[in-house]
Amino acid sequence: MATSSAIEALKDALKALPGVGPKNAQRMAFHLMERNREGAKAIADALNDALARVTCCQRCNTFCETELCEICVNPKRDQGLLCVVETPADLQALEQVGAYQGLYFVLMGKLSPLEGIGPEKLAFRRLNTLVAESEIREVVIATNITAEGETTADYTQQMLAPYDVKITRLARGVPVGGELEYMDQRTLAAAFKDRRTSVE
Amino acid sequence: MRVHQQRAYILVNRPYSESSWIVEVFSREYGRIGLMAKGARRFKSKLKGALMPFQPVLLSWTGKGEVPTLTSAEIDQTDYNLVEHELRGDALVCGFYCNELIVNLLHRHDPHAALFDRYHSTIMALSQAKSEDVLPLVLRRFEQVVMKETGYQVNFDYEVDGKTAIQNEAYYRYQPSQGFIRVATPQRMTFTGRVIRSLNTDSREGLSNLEVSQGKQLMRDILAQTLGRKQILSRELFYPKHR
Repeated sequence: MATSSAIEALKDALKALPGVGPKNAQRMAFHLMERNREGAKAIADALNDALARVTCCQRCNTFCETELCEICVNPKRDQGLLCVVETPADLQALEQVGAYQGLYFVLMGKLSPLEGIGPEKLAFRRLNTLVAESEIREVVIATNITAEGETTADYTQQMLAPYDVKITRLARGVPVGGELEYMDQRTLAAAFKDRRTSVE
Repeated sequence: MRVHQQRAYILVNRPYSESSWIVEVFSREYGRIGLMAKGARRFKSKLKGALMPFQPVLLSWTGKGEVPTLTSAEIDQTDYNLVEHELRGDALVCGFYCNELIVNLLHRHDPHAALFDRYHSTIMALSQAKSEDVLPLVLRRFEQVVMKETGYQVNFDYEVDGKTAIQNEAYYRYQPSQGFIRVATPQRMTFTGRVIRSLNTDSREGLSNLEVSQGKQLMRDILAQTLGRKQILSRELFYPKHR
């Protein structure tokens, strides 16, 4: 039953959101039209605005509104350190910790053959050029600890191997506050494999 | 329907809502199926470690319909060592390649116990490979079993008629969904009998490097024809070697 072609189009458009199916899309569309037209306007404006202004940083590939993002132009950042992450969300998570003072590079995804994502769909070429042309002494690979993330890490590592840079990988191990008794086996095994010398 | 402690491998995890995964599973007795892993993406979930690909797991699930609900998952450590058998580097890419073959060639709910056992031994062999040179051999053997088990078997010993044995020194071309046809002189896309017959054995002894790579190319062509429009992407994941 098509009530209005505009509402049908809105429902179809809302299905682009992750985890939103036909039922949810309809609920959202009716809610916006029935009771929250102001909110709908705000969403529409914000979306248009974001689409018009958000681009990718020319250096690190994360989302930003200028040619270079705030992190890349910040002179206090260590220009010799480069952290490779999968997504801008990962970058955000690391930034919130505040433990890292170097620069980033965002691949915009992970290698996943079963989802049809090969190296060509990620920003490997730009990363290669960046490492080749900049004064980077250490690349920290901070992809997820999943099969796809590890493949992405191995690929990155092989690609950067010819350059004279130190390549490191985020440590895998026991989380802070973790009790060994309740730890999942995979994590515990990884923690054992990646154990380090206790004396600094 | 309740299923208890079924031997299986995870092929791929796909996020479903904020907190769950739909896991694509290759189980020994139920074949390739999809399972809903509720809450698996949560920080405290203990399922995460068990739901990684390339490790044997024991899964229990319940429910009818296309996607039953996963009720428990644990790593099957009967002959799997968490530290020693971890896939990395090229072996990991080979693992993805096997998964792509399984996902593309197996129908859902179609049990293949023999193929499951071969998949298990393939993953074990990949994880224990001492050098990168053994990986292609492991994959060729797996490809053969996949083809055989999914009904796309190719006869590497006899010509199309099924009677005339393939001769080592003669030349043949491959006719899709039929088999090998002898040709008088070598042309583009023809192979010697020696290369063809080598695809039916585990050994590459007596074969030159060129012949091994011809065998690989032939198998790749046959697989490409079998897969039709589906593409195998894992090959692109090997970073070109600097030699």
